[in-house]
Amino acid sequence: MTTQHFTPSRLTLARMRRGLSKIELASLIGVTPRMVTAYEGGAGSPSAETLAAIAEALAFPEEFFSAPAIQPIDPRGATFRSLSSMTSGQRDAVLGAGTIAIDVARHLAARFTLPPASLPDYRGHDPEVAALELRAQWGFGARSISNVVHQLEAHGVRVFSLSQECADTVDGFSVWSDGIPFIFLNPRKSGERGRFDASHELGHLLLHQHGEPRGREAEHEADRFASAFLMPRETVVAMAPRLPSIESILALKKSWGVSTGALVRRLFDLQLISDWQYRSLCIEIARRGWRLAEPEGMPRETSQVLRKVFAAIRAKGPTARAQFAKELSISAGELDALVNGLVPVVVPGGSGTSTMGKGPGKLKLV
Amino acid sequence: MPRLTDPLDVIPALAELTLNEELLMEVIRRGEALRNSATANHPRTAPGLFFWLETVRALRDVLPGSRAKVRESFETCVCPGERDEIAVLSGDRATGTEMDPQPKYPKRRTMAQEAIVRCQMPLFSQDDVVRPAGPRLWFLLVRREKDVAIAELSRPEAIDDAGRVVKWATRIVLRPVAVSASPDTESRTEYTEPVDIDIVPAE
Repeated sequence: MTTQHFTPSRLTLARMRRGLSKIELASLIGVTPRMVTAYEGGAGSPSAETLAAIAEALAFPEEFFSAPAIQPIDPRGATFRSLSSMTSGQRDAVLGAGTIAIDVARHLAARFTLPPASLPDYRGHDPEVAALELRAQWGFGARSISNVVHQLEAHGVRVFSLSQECADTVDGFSVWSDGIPFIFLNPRKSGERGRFDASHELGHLLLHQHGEPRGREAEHEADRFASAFLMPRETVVAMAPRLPSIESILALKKSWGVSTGALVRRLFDLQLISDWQYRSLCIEIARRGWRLAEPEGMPRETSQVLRKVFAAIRAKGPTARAQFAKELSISAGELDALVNGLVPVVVPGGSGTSTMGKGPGKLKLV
Repeated sequence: MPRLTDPLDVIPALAELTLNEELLMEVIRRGEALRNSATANHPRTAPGLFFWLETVRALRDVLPGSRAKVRESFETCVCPGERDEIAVLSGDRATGTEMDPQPKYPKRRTMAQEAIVRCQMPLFSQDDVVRPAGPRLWFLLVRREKDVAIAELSRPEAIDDAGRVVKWATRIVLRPVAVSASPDTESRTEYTEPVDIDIVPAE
């Protein structure tokens, strides 16, 4: 018996989300790869038994596969900041999670009035100039940004987490979807790196609108934007020591909430330190292991929008969050993965200290 | 030329000048802290100047019974008992090492001339110069190596007419001084106001 309501693109999405090839999925559910191709191409629907096997193999509720089609993220429209070269499976997993996050955001926008997108178009701008203009437009002046994620959200950017399985390969990624800018951040990064990654992705959204240029040139421009956005030239020149020691870099980085490496690079780009000083400081940072673990790190920034909307959902009752996930035809775990590190989530029997709101269970920032 | 590095030698040698190593290290620490406060917006000479200004001051501050002595541009601190006086100068890369260091005079000609006179040594080119009476001149030579200041308190025995020390009478090498970070910049930092995003249920 075949399934009455089956949405082929949902199978593709779920398979991508898990980073599986058609051959791998076929092997897991005991069918031929050609049958998987047929299911995904709409040439055939799986039987109820096969659908159950698919749902189990891909860890999605069966309802997920009969829900309305979702427009997948176009890989050409997304910019990745990769830690290393990604496999196609890893890229698919990131894009699959991103597509689901966009669907979550669409459902949230139907329930709540969220800040409208208000990012200027800086295509063709020099990154340093664009950062300066944005700081002026957002009323920052030369002040340090107290919370980058909150500023992004206040200007309509939807911020989500990268899925855990991609955390070793991707720093972050961003995409425009129906005029809404999205940023996905790696929840394993230090607070400082998270701020830089968020600013880097903002640079892509503004400077490239996910068109040209691409590759290394685009990454370099986004880095320059992030650096200038977080560390305005005016204040760096006024505060950076003429003879920066590694200890002074450590003290100074707190003024802008950046990593030691990012600050040293900014000093070099602004020609405040020599090539020799730059190399010496980089060697010292590496020697002390600060590239892997940021010293005297700041806490990671969390999402204000997600915290508030999930608090509002939770306030409707202990099962409201699960009900919301059900509306999306995804598991509560899948939903949690998208907000991992950005918002406190309920951990059954957890002993989290970061509690908020009322209701059963403990809230814990995971 | 004795080069003293062992605490058993350094301690009594400094005591003769009514000094101790901790006191000198504190003096250097204060000077280096002010050197670190020079920013990119200060003139290029600021780090060295800040260091010199504060170290001279700190030396005079912390050495009880000392007095300031100024002649031309040559600022020294005369130790209690008037037998020794100390000038603060940046040292070259040999400072603190087994090689012979050289002082770096900010106003080379004027200061070198003063040093020659204070050193009570005849100029090699003017053997008939009269040795002036007065305290023995010591140089507190300091050089910076990353986050550490290397220093020695040394007495020149002979200085040539260009101000180069050609012979040292005594060199007292101090322990390296860890240099503290810049003054607190975080408290001077202004931050953007917290954002309160209004989230309301849709109609």
